[in-house]
Amino acid sequence: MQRINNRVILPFITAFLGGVWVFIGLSQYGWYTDGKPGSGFFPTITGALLLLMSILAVISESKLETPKFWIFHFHPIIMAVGVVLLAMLIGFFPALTLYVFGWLKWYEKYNLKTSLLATVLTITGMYGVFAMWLRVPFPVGFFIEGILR
Amino acid sequence: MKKLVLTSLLILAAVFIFAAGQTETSDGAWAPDRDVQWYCTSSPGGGSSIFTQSIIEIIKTEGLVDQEILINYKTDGGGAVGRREVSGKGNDTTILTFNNGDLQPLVQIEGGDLDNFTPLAVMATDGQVLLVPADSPFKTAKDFIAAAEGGKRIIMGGSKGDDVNLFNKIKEQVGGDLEYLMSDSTGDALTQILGGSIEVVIAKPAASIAFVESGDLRPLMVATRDRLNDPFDAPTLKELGYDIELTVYRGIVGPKDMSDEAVAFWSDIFGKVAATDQWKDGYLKKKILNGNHLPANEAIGYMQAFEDIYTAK
Amino acid sequence: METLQLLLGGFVTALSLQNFLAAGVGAILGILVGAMPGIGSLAGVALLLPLTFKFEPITGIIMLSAIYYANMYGGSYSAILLNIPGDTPAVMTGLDGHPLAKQGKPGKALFTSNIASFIGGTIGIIILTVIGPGLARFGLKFGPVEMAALIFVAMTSLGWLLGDNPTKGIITTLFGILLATMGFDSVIGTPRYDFGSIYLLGGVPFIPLVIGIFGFSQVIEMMELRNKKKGFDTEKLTLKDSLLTKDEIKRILPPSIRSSILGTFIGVLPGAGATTGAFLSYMQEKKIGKNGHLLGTGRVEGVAAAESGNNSAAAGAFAPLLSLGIPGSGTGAVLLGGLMMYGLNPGPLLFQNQPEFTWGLIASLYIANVITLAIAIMIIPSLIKILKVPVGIMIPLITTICIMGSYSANNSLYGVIMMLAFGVVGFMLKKYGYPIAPLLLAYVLAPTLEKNFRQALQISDGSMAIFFQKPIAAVLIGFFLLTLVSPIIKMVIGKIKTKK
Repeated sequence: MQRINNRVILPFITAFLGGVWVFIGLSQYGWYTDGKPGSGFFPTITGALLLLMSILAVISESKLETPKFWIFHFHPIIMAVGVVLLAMLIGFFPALTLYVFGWLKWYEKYNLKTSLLATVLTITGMYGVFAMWLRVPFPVGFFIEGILR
Repeated sequence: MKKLVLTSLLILAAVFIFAAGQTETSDGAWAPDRDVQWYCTSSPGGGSSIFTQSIIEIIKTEGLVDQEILINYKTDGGGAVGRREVSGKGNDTTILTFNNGDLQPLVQIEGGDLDNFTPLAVMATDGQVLLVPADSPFKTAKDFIAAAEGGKRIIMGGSKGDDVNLFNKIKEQVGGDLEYLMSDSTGDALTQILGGSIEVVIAKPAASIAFVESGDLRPLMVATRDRLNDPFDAPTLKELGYDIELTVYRGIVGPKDMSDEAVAFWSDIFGKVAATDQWKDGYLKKKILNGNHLPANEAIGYMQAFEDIYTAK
Repeated sequence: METLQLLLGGFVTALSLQNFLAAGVGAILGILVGAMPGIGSLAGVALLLPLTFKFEPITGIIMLSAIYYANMYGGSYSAILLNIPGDTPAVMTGLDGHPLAKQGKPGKALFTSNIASFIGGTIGIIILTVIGPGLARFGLKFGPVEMAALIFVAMTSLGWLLGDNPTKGIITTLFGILLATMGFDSVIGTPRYDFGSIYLLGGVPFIPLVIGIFGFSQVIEMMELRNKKKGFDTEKLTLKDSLLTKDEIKRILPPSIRSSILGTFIGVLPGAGATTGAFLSYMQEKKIGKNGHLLGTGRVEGVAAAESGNNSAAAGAFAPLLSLGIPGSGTGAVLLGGLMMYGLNPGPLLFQNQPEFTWGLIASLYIANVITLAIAIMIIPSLIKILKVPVGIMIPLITTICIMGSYSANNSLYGVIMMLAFGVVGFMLKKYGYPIAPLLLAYVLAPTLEKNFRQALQISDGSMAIFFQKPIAAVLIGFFLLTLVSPIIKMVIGKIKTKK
């Protein structure tokens, strides 16, 4: 069996979404109400067109080469998710500090001085702009909140 | 590389010094410990935003609150998103401008309840007025009514909530082939009428007074109990023989779980605002509203009465 | 001429030392805020607004306009250098700006961006001065029918003209529209496509979407560059290298001027702002510019068109704001609020009742424009140094900015999650060769299109004929049909010619 080109995943997904939109649009939101377009009009047309174009794309894409995906592409995502989870435990800024420092020191293998310096600059800059200047309320984390109570 | 580090440090220092100048401290009884998020469900330019901004201005001039008050416009879904956010995620420093225009869709369309909020104050009552462009074929209210009763197609516009309510009542009682274009705020509706896309607009004095004074728009009739002052002196719907009389109240609420101290604080602040001359002359008189200040404990009953009307329908 | 006199009077007010300094500080802050992805001009102006209250009214207003203005300058910087637009209009700037940076010419892109912004702003303000109120009145004529026609024409060009593959471009455009339909039906107010989630009820949050699809996807892409352990190929780029050659200057003038005029006009329209201005100007350049077909590969003409388009639209937005009290965009709304706090009552009588204020404001726009240009040019060398930062450091740095920016949008972690999700989506789109700019633009324009379209049909009681009955709309649709048909006609004519 011929290896399926992973390129077609994307148009398949968009085709699927298009179909879903059409389905929900027609069944739930109404095509025309009172002689004028209803909630479902616009999305249904969009979904239908998307479905059509996606099918065309599937056909044309399957003729092209598969692009390469490496595992390392996923590292930032995994790290970022990890940071978010960590942030909920120990607070936003501590989590981010750990992330930046950790990444620089152990992933990128910079020496201690550089890692520390870059981390300090970044985090204090972010803190200054977002927390102090823009006054965005950042979560302080489960544990710390527990301690503060 | 060294230069880069140096300049970054300088910039950081500047940001810090700057930011430090922004933070304030306060002590004593409960007071907001961070920026206040004031939500408004109609876009700027309309009556609700003018109301909100006027109050904030007075608070600032009188120095009643140390923290910054930031207006957050959340007009999505006719304001539903903003209301939901405040009731769901609000805290002691979250407040919401709340009129009938918010209460009605909340209980009638969104399945919400006044109990999701803590009323803090009622500040004023406003009235609705129907306006037409200066060159409109409707010279008097009677012209409009005659045309409507004759089945002529008339395109009207206005904001959400209470304006829609008024439109529905008019359509019900006066009849005619009336169409309503709902905008995010009176400001957008005014743009439409000035551009000729609609023929009649439902608005409130505060947002439309500039255009009446400049002669672009003319008041046709009002939906209040009594006639309004100049330049909005036009017949009331009651005079014209229709049982339509709407009061639009303008109030402020907080989220359901707002602490008692916060409620007391805000209620007190708004009471102070209502007592200032700036409020009475600069806002109420100028924008043709009726002052009607009720503190938190009385506001609850007042708003509840409206809720009962809306849920009884 | 009376206007000129009033304007000169305005200059006298604006040129007091205090006001001058205020404009300067405003310009710097504006650039800073504008450059940060995640803080678009709306949030930036809203946040800096309270700062201006500490000064007396005229000074405060001058500072505020400088901030608003300079925001437009700043947004393009991160778009050019990092391919992460600092605000939505900058998306268009990045289309040619970033390729230029990659080709080792970031300085030229930055310089062009600044000059074009200046030209756009100046022309916009001049038009504002001369026919501002009249233009605003004309803009009013664009009711739902006309706006629907305009945006429809604009959207249909999206997929075709951006990127190499029309099919893929159309897919991303449609996907953008799909995303925009999630949340609430803006016309009726009922929930739509929220799939029962209270988070999705508010729709896909905009800022996390932008940050994710542009910023975070860029981070993932950067993972591939890590092995080179150094930034872009910059060597020693000085200010001198950033200066444009005579030829380049000649090339950017026509697009700048064209775009400025178009942009100012777009800015005046209700509901269309800097983003639409930048976008339509870019389209215009692509279609009728001498080197239009090369746009997207790294041409200064592209940067010029986008930047003058967005700055002139920002200036144009002041017309309805001042003369009618009607904000043309979200940012304009914040400005309106600010102006009202100062006791300024924008409306038809503003020019008559408060001339010193108004003309002082307009004069200060000119000044803000000049100051911002000067500052912007001065910092070009420092900006270029950013590119020297090694990729390895950039990755966590940008990730951090992305996380913080998307959190700040709505003060919720949900925004961060959305950002990450769209980061992956954006990366996949890029990898497979789909242009992502149309997605964003479609997402921004779709709600306005739908609302206006449905309101137009309310006016016409369901009849589509209204689009041909109203003159402005008819012209637009006619134009659109013409562009659809013209390639076919050309082909036919060509075939006839070869037959002879």
